[in-house]
Amino acid sequence: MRKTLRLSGILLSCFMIALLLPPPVGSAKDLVIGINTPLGGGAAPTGLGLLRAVELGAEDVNATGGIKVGSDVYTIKLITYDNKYDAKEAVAAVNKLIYSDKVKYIATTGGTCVIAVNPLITENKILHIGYTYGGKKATNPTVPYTFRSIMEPIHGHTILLPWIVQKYNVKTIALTSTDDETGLIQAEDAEIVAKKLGLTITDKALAPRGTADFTPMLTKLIAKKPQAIDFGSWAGSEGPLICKQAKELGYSGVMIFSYSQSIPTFEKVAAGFMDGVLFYGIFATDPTPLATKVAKRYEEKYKQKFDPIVWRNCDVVYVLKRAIETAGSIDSTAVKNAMPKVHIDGVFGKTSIGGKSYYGLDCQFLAPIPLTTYDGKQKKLVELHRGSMPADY
Amino acid sequence: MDSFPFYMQIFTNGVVLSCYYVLVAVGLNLIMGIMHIVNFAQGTVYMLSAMLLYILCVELGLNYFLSGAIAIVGTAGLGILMERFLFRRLLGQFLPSLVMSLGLLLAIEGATWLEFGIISKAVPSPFRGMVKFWGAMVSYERLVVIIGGLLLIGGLFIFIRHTKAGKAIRAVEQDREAAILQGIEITRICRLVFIVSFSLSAAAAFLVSPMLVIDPTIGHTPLLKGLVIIVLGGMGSVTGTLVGGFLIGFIESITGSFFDPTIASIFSFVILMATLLIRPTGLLPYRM
Repeated sequence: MRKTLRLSGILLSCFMIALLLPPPVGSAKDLVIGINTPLGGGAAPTGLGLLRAVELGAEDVNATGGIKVGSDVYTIKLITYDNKYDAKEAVAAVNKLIYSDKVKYIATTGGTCVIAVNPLITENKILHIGYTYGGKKATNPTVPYTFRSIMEPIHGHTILLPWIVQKYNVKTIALTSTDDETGLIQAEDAEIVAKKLGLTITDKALAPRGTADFTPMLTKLIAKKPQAIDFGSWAGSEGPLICKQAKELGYSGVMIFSYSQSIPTFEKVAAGFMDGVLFYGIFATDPTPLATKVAKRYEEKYKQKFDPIVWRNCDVVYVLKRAIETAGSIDSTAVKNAMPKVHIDGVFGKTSIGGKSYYGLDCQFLAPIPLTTYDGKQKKLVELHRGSMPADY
Repeated sequence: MDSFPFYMQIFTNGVVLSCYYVLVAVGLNLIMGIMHIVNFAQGTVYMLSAMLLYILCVELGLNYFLSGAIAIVGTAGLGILMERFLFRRLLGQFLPSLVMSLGLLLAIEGATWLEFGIISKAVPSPFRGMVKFWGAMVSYERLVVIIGGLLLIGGLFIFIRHTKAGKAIRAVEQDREAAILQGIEITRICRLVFIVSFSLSAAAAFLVSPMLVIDPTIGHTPLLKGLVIIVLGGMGSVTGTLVGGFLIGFIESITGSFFDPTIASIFSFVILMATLLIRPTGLLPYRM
């Protein structure tokens, strides 16, 4: 009996000592990023764009040594939830990520979704990347943990619309967009820049996502003979559908797709109707060697033609990596404070975090933005123009 | 705006929308009139037919018309199976059949998501080009929807009014017991109704697919519109469905062209509610 007690005591002491010992030097740990993105419906190409960009970035970072913080090495892992581009679903997903999965880094697609989850994000100090427009509602000093991976339509219009107006001698423009938060902001931004350029806005029309037949709405817009139409936040499969239906109604003016479009989806749905259509933010050729590498890996991994929409979020992982390394910590507040100091050679070229003069804090990924058109004869995109926001923006 | 071309465009848009909605709504109404069940899976049938068309035409490379014929026949076959194994025993039972059809909708849609993925698909149109029709631009695709839709609706009308089978369907709809006494076999009529109903939805998918995109959710709009139309037109009434369908199609085209699509949708429901207040049985009830 005494012998048994003595043995148990020794074993218990060993166990307690083992618990107190520090982990081995250089042990691999996981850095989990939650992905909150639409995986179905019309917004699926946009949602998949974020997911695949982060997957490829994570694989690349993990393959090249992971994220080093002091003596620790972090491997990126992903947990994904489908938010169906719906605010309620996005909130449910973020609740799961924070409270069940204990995640401190989240990326979300969709303006309405980002705006809806921001209170949770801020309360729980989650480092949050929004693949979103959403304007100052999505990012502002009251939500300091949220950063945006793509530039606002107002930035795209500020950089590119003057060039379009001059090149095509545009005096009148019609605006259409989705009737959700993202769409409303998109339409407002287009209106602000159009009015600054002295354009007359002939008409505005909003419709719900999921609209299949746009002809009544387009009939109204086209009847007033605008020289250009900006198609706002229509994307996914709706972007090419509205393009096709506008051309079928005989519209031959300038067609501007200022929201992120999936070119493979466009080619499937609007084949034969894309000639001369203008796209913001889609490069015609690989903008950098890193972009080429991403495109190649995409086609190897997913066995599909590369979708340039994926490039838009490829810098998310590299920016996070640099911010963590700069902060010297994975603490989300330390990383949040380090984000504005990040400068990387990203997928589109020199990328930094700025936007204080517009949003009130530096939260915007800033990179060059191109204007491309689809050449129907060559069946490919051709770059017309490229520009950037100023460095002190 | 040049007035006449603008109004002509609204008119042609309205005809296209009406034909699209009527083809699905009539199928829904036939089943409701004969079997007294609401088939919420009707929109899903439309979607399945469109998916089948895509597989045959795009993935297997078959001719568009051959693909359409196979899709229609295949969907009709699905109707026979569904009637025999799922709905026959629920004949006349409103709530159980409603739950069954809702379950089918969710199950089929979920399975389609898993199998075909999340990216929308498109069927290339064999009808390329546009024509100007009194100032209105109409693509050949839409012209085909108009002509095909009107022919199908006309054919259905002749079938219901002037064929023995059509008269049998009308007899069952008017008085089931009297029809049985006349020697009409109810089981056969129910099977026929499912074949016709599903074939009409498949025909709608065949006509409309080149115009729109294909994904697992495309059945929702025709189902929702179909339910509005059959309530507006009168449940069990094919004539009422035709009238209701064209009314809704034109209301959407007109309000969408003068206001916006959201107001167009709201207006459809306002018209429905106003009609039901005045005529609770619908515009033309019991008029096969």
